[in-house]
Amino acid sequence: MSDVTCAAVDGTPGDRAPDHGAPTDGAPGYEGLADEDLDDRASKDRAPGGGTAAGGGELPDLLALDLETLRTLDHPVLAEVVADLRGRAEQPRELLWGFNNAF
Amino acid sequence: MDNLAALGLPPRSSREPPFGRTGPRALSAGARGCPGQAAPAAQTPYIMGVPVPFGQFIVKVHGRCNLACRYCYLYAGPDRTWRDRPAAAGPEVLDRAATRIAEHADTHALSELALVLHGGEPLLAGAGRLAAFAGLVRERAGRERTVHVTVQTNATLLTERRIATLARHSIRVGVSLDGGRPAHNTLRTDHAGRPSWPAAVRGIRLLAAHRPEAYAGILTVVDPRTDPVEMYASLLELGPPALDLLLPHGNWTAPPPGLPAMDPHRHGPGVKRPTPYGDWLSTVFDRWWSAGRRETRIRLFEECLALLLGLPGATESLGLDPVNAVVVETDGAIEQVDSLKSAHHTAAATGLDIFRHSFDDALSHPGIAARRSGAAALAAGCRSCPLLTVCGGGNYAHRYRAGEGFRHPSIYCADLERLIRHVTARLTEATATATADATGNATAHATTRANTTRTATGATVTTPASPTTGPVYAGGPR
Repeated sequence: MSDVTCAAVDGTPGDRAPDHGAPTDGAPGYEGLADEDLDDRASKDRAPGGGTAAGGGELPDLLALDLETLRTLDHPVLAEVVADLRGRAEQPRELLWGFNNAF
Repeated sequence: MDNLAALGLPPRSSREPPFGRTGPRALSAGARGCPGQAAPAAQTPYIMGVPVPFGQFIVKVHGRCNLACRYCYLYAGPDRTWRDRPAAAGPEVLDRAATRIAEHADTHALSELALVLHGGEPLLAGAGRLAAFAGLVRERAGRERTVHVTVQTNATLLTERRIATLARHSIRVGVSLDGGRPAHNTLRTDHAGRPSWPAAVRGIRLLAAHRPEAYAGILTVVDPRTDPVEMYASLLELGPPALDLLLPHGNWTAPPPGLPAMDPHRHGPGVKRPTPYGDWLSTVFDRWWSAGRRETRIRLFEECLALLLGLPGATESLGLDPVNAVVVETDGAIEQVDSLKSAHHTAAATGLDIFRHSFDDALSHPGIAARRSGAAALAAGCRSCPLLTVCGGGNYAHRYRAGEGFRHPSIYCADLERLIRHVTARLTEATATATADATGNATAHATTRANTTRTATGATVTTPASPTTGPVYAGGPR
């Protein structure tokens, strides 16, 4: 990545956003969790090597699964999703329209 | 009436050549570029030696909105560029935009492209004007090219007549709504503070009843305070063929609701914290996954599944694939995707405009190149994360911290991990039989994927740990 692109990623001192504060009002599971508690929890829960304390680590390898076989499984939602994805690997990248703020 | 006349433009031969203007142009402040962004000189992302062109063109046909949603990333966020721009894209802007889109399509031999009519509220421009512009783009792009057109609206201005106009011109209608109940939409008010719900639900119901073929779907911003299953079920009642569940825009400097102030250098990958958004999404996933049929498409979940299966992604929310969308503002400025405006003022600016620059000029703009450089733009912790190729660092705008830029994990890092691992577990359960048959070993699926993805020819793509290179594609055509 060029230096200019790096600068675009790493920002400049001038691109300051106003601090809107951190509303924590009433979100379930978050009442009363102070920043100090979060840091304390983070240091206790960080496993050696950077993984999470529970349920972390590498994802299972799902790449060996044959997409055609997945379509025939007795799982209606998975079968329909895989059917839609069938041509995805061959599609030119410019046809994968990822803009989030519209359909 | 032809498309040019409908937009208030004279016939083509009586006007100046499309790209002959070299004189100064009074660009809005936002279009002059943002601090730190030099003239385009960065590396364009390539796959197998071919630049990845834009395929999705977001045109801000109107720059104002009849609503004043309290969380709006455009009008209630740090970016103020809209104040200096025209309220609506004028005829000359639409005309030039259509020509530039066709030019880019010709240059890169695009067989299809997407035109998104956006805003603000695009219906403020009038359904007839939207139809004329869509027609102009199709005309300039040529009959051999398919132009998929959608309009993204808050639905409050949808009437039977407007819906008929849009449908007649093959414009599909996407709706922004935060749930199928009035209580889900209390933040979506007009400028006088009145709820938009009655008008929005009336518009959606007209669309679903009269022109279901033009109904693209509903975009919903997640609120973890709502009951996830109830909210999802309420959306299903509105009959959407597709949904997307969007995390509210926020970052390390301005955290989203429900997340406290955190430090990206202490609270990144692998650090446990409560995950209200991940929990909420996982609950909706289970409800969707366990239905006896696919009741609707949910883009976030389906893209997660695609990425887990080693396929390229088509969302800004996940994955490392290049974002191939570009924005044209009401004054003709070429900008990056507008979610960046949630980070800081002028964050989406490039200094380019359609009168002086092509979309190919925008491809090599450093900001746009950065968003398309995959793992190279990520923090070290993300590059070494086992979820890298699925998460991809999440939405680029959510990685921002004032004064430090975007090289951080997402503010939603733990929530994304929660969701991805949850989807992985459900997918693994569902595919256990297929895996055992394929390998003859019921435990084969326990092996790790080690940051590889698949291509159609069976070639593999390995994402290296080096920060200086992006994904490496090997073996076989793209």
